[in-house]
Amino acid sequence: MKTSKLPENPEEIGAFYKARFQEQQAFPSDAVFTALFEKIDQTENNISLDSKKKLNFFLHPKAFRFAASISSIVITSALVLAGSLAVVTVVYDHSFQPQKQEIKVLNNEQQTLEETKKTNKVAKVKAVEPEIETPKTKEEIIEVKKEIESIKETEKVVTPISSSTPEKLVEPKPTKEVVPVKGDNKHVLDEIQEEELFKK
Amino acid sequence: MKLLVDDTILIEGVKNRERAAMEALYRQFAPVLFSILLRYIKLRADAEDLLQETFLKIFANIHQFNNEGSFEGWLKRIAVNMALNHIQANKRKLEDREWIDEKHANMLVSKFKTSQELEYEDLQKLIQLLPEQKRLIFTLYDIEGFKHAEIAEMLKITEAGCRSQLAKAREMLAHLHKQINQIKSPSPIGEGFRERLN
Repeated sequence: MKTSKLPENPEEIGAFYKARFQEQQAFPSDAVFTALFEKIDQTENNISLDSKKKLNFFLHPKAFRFAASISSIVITSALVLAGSLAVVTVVYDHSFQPQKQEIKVLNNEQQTLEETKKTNKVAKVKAVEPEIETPKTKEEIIEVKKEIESIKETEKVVTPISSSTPEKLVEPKPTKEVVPVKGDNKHVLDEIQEEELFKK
Repeated sequence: MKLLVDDTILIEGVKNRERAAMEALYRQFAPVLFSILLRYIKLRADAEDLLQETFLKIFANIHQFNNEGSFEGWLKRIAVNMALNHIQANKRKLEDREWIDEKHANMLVSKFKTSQELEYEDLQKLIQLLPEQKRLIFTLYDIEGFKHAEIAEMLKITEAGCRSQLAKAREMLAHLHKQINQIKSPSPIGEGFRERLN
C-alpha cells in the first residue's frame, strides 16, 4: 500500500500505521531456514545420542559393577557416619552435658559442703534433713519396734567396751560396800566371810 | 476455518516432532513474525537471528498451546516477547533519546522526492526515528494491538507513563509527517524547509 499524503493529526496516526503494518509480511533470507533446521537436526541427534549413551551405559556389565561399587561405598560411608554420630552423641551425653546447678546432700554427712561441691562438680550444694519414713499401719509399727529391739540387742553384744566410756550394762552392782583390806582389819574380813558362808 | 484446520494439523505434527510439519509451520508464519521483529529490531541481520531463536522457542514450547484462542496470536506474542527481551538485554548499547534525532530525521526526509509515494519500508524508517521507548509503545499499542496494562507490564512502567509516551510518539510522527508533506506538496514553506536542510 503506497502513501502519497501522511496524516498530520496525532489522533489519526495510530489507525494509519495499523492499516499499513498489520498485514505486512517481510521475507527472511533462506539462510535463516537452513540454519534453523540444521540446529534442530543437531539438537535431535544430540538428544537421541544422549539417550542411546545412557541406555548403553546401563546395559554394560562394567556399568553394573561400577554402580554396585559406588552404591557399596555410599552405604558403607552412611553406616560409618551413622555409627560415628551415635558414638559422638553418647560421649557428649556423658561427658559434656551441662553441669547440674544444685544438688542436695544429707545434713548428717561427714563431707563438708565445699568438698561435695568439688567432688560432684556442681555450682551449689544444699544441706537437707534426712527424710524419715513414719510407719503408718499397726503392723508396720510392730515391725519397726521389733527392728529397734533387735538393734538394741545387737548393740549390747557387739558394741565394744571403750576405755573412755565405761559400759553400764556390764558393770556389776556391788551388793555390799567393800572396805579395803589393810593389815590390822584382816580379822573383820574373815568374820564377814564366815557370815556369808553361814548364810549359804 | 480452513486455516484453523491447517493450524491444528501443523500443531499436532510439530508436537510429534515431524520435520515436515515444522518446515510447513516455518514457511507459513515466518514472514508475519519477521515483519513483527523488524518493527522492533533495527538491523535486519539481528532480526533474522532472532527469528531463528523465535522458531526454536515455538517448537520447544508448542505443547503449551492448548488450542484455545488464535494460534497466530500466540506465535506473535512469542515473537514480541523475544524482541523485547533482546532489546532489554542490549539496553546499554541502545540509545534512548527523549526527542527525535533531528540530523537523522532531516537526512531521511530529504530523501523523499516530491513525486515519490511512500512505501512500507519508508514508514518503517519513520517509526525507527522515534526514541526507543516511545517506538516500542507506539508499535505495541497502535500496530500490535496490546492494551496499556499489558504494555506497562512488559516494559515495567506505569500505565499512565505508557499513555503519555504514546501521545508523545504520535506527536513526533505528526511533526515528521508535516515536514514530509511540505516536501511532497511544493509550497513556499516546503521550499524553505528543503533549503534549510541543504
